[in-house]
Order: sequence, then structure tokens, then C-alpha cells
Amino acid sequence: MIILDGKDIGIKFDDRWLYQKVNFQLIQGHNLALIGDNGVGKTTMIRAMLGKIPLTTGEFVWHDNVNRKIAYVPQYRPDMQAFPLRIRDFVGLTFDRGLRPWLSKAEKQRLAAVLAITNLTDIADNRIDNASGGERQRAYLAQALVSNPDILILDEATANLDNVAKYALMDVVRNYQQKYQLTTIMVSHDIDIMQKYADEYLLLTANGSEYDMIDHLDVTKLKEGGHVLV
Amino acid sequence: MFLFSFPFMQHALIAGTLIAIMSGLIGPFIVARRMSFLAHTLSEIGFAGASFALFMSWSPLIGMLLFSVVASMSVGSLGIKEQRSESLISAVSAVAIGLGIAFLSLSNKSATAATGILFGSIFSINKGDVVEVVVLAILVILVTLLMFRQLRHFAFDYTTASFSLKNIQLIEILFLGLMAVTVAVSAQVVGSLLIFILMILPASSAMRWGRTVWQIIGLSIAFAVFGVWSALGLSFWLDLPVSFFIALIEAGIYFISLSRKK
Repeated sequence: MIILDGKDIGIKFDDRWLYQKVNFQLIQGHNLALIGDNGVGKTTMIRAMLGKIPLTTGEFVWHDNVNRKIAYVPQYRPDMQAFPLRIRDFVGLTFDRGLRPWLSKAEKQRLAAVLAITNLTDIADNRIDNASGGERQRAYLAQALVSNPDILILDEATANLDNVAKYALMDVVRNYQQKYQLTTIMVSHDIDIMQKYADEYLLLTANGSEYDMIDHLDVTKLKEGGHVLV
Repeated sequence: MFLFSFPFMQHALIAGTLIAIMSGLIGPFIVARRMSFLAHTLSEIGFAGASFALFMSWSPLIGMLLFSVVASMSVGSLGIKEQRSESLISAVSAVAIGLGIAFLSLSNKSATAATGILFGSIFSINKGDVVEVVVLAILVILVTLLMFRQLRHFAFDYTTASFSLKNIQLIEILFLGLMAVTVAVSAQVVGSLLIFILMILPASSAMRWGRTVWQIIGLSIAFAVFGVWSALGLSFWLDLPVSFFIALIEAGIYFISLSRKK
């Protein structure tokens, strides 16, 4: 099922087109890789998708229900270092609806389930600022998953992880995705990761865009065209 | 206890305790959201408000509330960059303190009135003041508890909160309003110059020890209440200002917390 149709998307900043005539689809349960040079406007595209900034041309046509929940795992987390919160509590920050100051039984169960899926149960009572890069990234992921989202957006989630940790993280994403039919968009520069985990890709450049199955991604062309992606 | 046979001591104890609870509750959110300096600027604006109230022959609390709430609402309309701009904050502080001095001079009140506003005057508050403080403090505590989930995400992880909370601007404005009321009411005890000692120091100390948001808040309230109670007793026996003892105790707790390995 197609959740979202991006039709002739164009975004212009101060007379400069970031891109024009971008067409793509978001398919339920699939993983879409969003590719492009630094500065091409991948995060801008995501912000537009979330309704945070207006489109210059084109439109996003959503086909799912209006109450869809989108969870976003941002690239930069400037605030996190300052507080010695336990991983469990950091993940639980996402319970941000309602008037009850404490967590309900169902919410506690949900929290425990997500900690288990993200392999954080054993270290849930450790402090987030002492956690390793991989553990932290899994905690960010868990924080997004706690809200039981329909769509998960990962913004360069594996960028600062070593080879073991990045596959561990993406395995968690894929397991969750297959279990709950979660739709994922991942912004990435890592060709190996994209080829292993993505279903489709959307390549953004200033001259145009390309949307296709990930198997059709021509890696050599990307590198030759001056698009250093890795 | 002999100490509390005096009405002024009873008033001070009731007002001081509630103010400590309120400041201790809201402080961690301010520190986590990195708005400590904004809180201080609001207190200087509150000083201008209190002096204006003296000039108009109103209660200083009314003037402080008026000025700090209006100021916090205007801050809410600024972007986060401007809110954290040190030069902008310096300019606003300068104008606020200047205005405060001008109104004080115009009001022809004695230096005692100025000292009361700047450094607190908890022993001189009467029954009517206590009622005002109690009502406002309970209001702040209730609203904070009702908004607890939203405020927690907003303050402790703004990056994701800005995507998760749809009405984040409203939350920000309400939070600034709570901050402004807390500043105005706390200034009754510690004075507008020493607003940090109940709103920021206990929260910063608590953040060195607490592992959950509730632990941080609990410790922050405990540090604030302990400071106020001890200071009231010490001030009564040693005849030095309450604010002085609160400042020493809260700074002491903070330095002990700092020396603790993180």
C-alpha cells in the first residue's frame, strides 16, 4: 500500500532551487533510502514532509489515516550530554501526551517491550551520558519507537557508528519493521547499509532526482558524477 | 516551638516553604532547557516592576508579576537564538535595572524598600502577602503538574519534542509564564538579585545526583526547602538576612555536588 505520493516536489530557498520535480512514493512496511550530497537538502525534504516548512511547488498526497504518527530521530542531539538520566527515563521522555504525571501500566509495558526490542534491557538503568555510541543510538531509536509510530525517519543514524554497531542498529530497525509493518525513511551516506536494508531509494541532486528500487541504484555513476556518498 | 510563636515567623515559614517547593519544582525544567540566564533577566525586569509598583503605591508583588509576565510573553515571540543572545540579554538587564532605579528615586521611598525588593524581606510580609504567595505558588505547582509530561519532554529533549509535540509554541509560552510567576513570587523571599539561589542552584545540584526526572525534582525541592528552613532559623538566632543564609547553604550544596564525580 502506498502511504505517501510526492508529486513534483520543488523547494526554493532565497531564489535558489534546492531541487525541482521530485517524484517518489512511500510504501507501507518498506524502507526508503534518501540519498544526496551534503547540503542538497535531505533534511529539508524531511522537514517539508513533516509540514514544518512549505513546499514551493508540488504536493505531498497522504493516503493513510490523518492521525498517523511520525517519529523522527534527528541527526544532532545537542541537549543529551548534559543530563545524567537513566536510559529507561530518557526513552520514556516520549510519553508526552496527557495529564498524568506518572506512567500507566500499559505505558510501562510498552517501555519494557521497546527496551527489549532495542537490546537495551540490561543497561536500561545505566546513565545515557555514559553509554557507548551504539547504545546511545539505540536509545534514540527506542525513544522514537515508544510512541508506536506508523512512520520512522532516521537521519544519518549510523553515521558515527563503527561497523559492528551500525549493523546491530539496522538489524533492530529491520526486525521491528517486519514485525510491526513500520514504514521507514533513512537518510544515509552509507552505500553498504542502504543496499542491505533499503527497499527503494530517492536520490536528490540539484539537477534532478531519481526514484527506483534499491537494486537499480548505480553506485559507480554516483561516484563518477562527483557525488561522493561514502 | 518557641520560634514559631511569633506571627512573622509563621508567615515566613508558610510563604518560604511554598516558594521553595515551587522553585524546586520548576527549577530543573529551567536548567534542563538552559534558560537560567533568562530567569535572572526576568528577575531584573521584575525589580523594575516592583519599583514601579512602589511609585504607584501598589504591592511590589503586583508590579513584579506584571512586568515579568509581560516580558516573558514578549520573549516567547522571539526565536531561540535571540533568547540565548548574551548581548541582547545584557541590554535588556541594563534597561530594566535603570528603570528600577528611576522608579525608586521617583517614589521617594526609603532605602529599606529598595533593599527589600533587591535582597528579599520575608520577615516583613503580612498575612495578606502570605495569602497571595500561597495562591500563586499553588497555582504554579498545579499547572506544572498538569503539564508535567509535556514540560518534561520540552525541557529534557527539545530536539525530539519539537517534532513530537504539535503545540510546542503554546507549551513554551505557558512555561515562560510559569517561570515569570515563579520569579516574581520567589523574589519575595530571596529578592530579585538572588533569584538564582532558589530557582537554579537547587536544581543544578539535583542534576548531579538524580537519575530520573522525578529524582531530580525531588532532590531539587528537598535542597530548596532545607535551605529555606535552616536559613529562617539561623537568621532568627544570628540576626543576619535570610537571603544570606539561603545563598550560603544552596551554594554549599552546589559545590559539594560539583565535587562529586560525575
